[in-house]
Amino acid sequence: MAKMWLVAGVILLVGLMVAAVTMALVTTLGGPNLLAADSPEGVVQRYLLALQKEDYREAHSYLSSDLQTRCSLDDFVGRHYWPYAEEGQVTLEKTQRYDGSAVVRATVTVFHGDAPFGASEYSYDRTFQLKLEGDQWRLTGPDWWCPPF
Amino acid sequence: MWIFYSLLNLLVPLAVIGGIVAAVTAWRRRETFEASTEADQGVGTVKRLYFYASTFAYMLVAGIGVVLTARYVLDEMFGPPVLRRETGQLALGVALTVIWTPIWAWHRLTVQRFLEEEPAERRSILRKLYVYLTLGVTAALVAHASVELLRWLFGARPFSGYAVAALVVWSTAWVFHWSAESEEGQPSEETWIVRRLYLYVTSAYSLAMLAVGASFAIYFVLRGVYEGLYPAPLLLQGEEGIWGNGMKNALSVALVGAALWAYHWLYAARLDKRSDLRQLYLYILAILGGVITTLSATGVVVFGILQWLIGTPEEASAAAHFRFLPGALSPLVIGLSLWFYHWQTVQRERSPLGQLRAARQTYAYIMAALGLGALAASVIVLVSTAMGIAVTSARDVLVGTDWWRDRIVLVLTLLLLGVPVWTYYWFSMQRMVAAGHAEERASSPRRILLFGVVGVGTLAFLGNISYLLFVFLNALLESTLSLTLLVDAKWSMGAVVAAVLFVPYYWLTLHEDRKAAKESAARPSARRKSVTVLIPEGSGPFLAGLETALRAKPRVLCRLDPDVGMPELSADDFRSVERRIGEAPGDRVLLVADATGVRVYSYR
Repeated sequence: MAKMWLVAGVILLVGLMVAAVTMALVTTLGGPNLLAADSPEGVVQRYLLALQKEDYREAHSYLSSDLQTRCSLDDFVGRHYWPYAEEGQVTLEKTQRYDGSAVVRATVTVFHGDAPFGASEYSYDRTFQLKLEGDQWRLTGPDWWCPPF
Repeated sequence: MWIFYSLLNLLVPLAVIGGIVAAVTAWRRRETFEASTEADQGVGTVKRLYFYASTFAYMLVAGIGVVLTARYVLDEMFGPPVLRRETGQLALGVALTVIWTPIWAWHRLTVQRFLEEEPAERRSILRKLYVYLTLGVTAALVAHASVELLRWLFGARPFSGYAVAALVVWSTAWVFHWSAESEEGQPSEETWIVRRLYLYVTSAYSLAMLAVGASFAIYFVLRGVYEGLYPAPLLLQGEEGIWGNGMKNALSVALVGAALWAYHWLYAARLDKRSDLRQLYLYILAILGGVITTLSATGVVVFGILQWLIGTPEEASAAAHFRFLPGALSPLVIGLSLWFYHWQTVQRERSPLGQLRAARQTYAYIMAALGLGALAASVIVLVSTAMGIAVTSARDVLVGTDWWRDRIVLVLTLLLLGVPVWTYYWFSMQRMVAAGHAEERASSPRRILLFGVVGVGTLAFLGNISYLLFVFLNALLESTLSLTLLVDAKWSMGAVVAAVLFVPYYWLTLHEDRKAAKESAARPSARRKSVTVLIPEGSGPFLAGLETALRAKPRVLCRLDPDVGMPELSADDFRSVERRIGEAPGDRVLLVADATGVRVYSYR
């Protein structure tokens, strides 16, 4: 009797695992949904996606006019400024708007794998500052980095 | 030039290891009953030390040379295109291979010739240390290379000739030495100990690889499920789906760990049921590791649930708050699996006479200590929180009225974990003592726990009382006496209360144990003597009965005389043997058992 319960338990566990893996595979395919293009978080998202695709011209276009002057397109090319794109994800935490400016807070989660004990995952926060130029949000900082983040 | 410094650096630890081994061998020669046996004659310790240490070192260097050479060739043939490949490694690899491989081969043939000249060389501990150190190092290198290879196969990294080269070279070395050792066998208890050390150390770290890898793999799956059910606002995702580099790395580590552990634990060590090392592995590493992982993960889950129910969560929505669950549930699953599987193994292997081993005692007292630690921490936090609630000036926070909620959640979490753990383990050992297992009172793990609690508790009590008195007197003398002193002082008060609650109880328990020990010392006991027994092979039942009567493992010498026979003793007969051992003069006793009965001899 005990053996039957054990077998049933193992079958149930295996079934649950298969279901979980299937669900995880299905739901995580396709990448993140695009946020509204006219929102501060949407601009940050498109900026990050452009960097990931190495479309530096598009990424440069999301900077404010002041920042574009200080940070040229050439500054984007050849910089190793995205070491973790392949290894983690950026999650939106909060967006705060004040009159004509906004602050977007995000959490970057990075996974590192090293043999043989393989693994660590850590997170850190990043803050993006934006301002309204006309009717479009544009990145203004952190202005001590070029390009930002 | 750096390689020569590296070789020099390799020689230093080898020399240290060799020195330790020589010292241990010399010490055992003074102590062992086999001081005059053939195993210690003929080849000589210094000669052995040189040949075995050299053979090990030369094998490593030659292996490194072959790996470097093969790596270069493989990278050239299959590796990603490079602008310019460094040829220094190829030159170094060829040089090491050409010079050190023949030297290793000659040394290896020489050490094998030792066996032909002196068959008793099979019993040499130095030889076994050489063999199993070689096996241990090559197994670890194979594990590392296998993980790298799997990472490439899964697409987590580009092709690397090192992984293939290292895997082939070190696995060949491992198979070669394992086959040779299988033919030689382990003719003595000491050689068995060396083999067991290798088996259980390798099982331990491979189990750790399996646990870590599986934990991360489950974490990625659970995170995928959770984000599917409650999607987080993602700005960017590094890779699509759960089949990212993280999962690939995790599976690589888990699969290699599983293979290594399965071979060493499930196959190679499957018949070794009676060794202390096995008990140590089971109780102290596997079960204790599983329990601690389970309790820690449970604590995180319980805290998160209670914080949502009665605490002050930072997140507004339940979905955001419980996003920690995948990270807590994955180690919980692994911890429970480790605990369940190894506990079942222990139950299956435990002697039908319920023999208690030192490893089990150590495990139980460590768990009792952890439970007690959780209880003490809960008392400290509870007292300080209560003072903060009762006295406004004693609070740490400047604004907010709900600051105490998370503290109470922490207290409840610690109590929910600490109470069952401490009561179960501590009182189960107390029941063993009450049932008449007098040697339990004198066991080292129990004494360490009792003295540790009394010592640490007393220090904590005196230290914190001193601090409170200092704070009070200082404020009094400076005319700054006010309730704001409680901001820091409340933690010391909590520690004092915890010490007052637990230390007297453990001090009284210690007192009872010492009283019982004095009464027991007045009676002669076999259990305080060093017992050696000379028996023929196949005397398992006799040995089991003797161990039950003595509640300890005697040292066993295997008698080679033919047709010796064994006596058939009842439980009363074994108790009689125990009494005769207790009454024999001196601290060392030799039992000689054959068909005529059991004779007891004292020796020095």
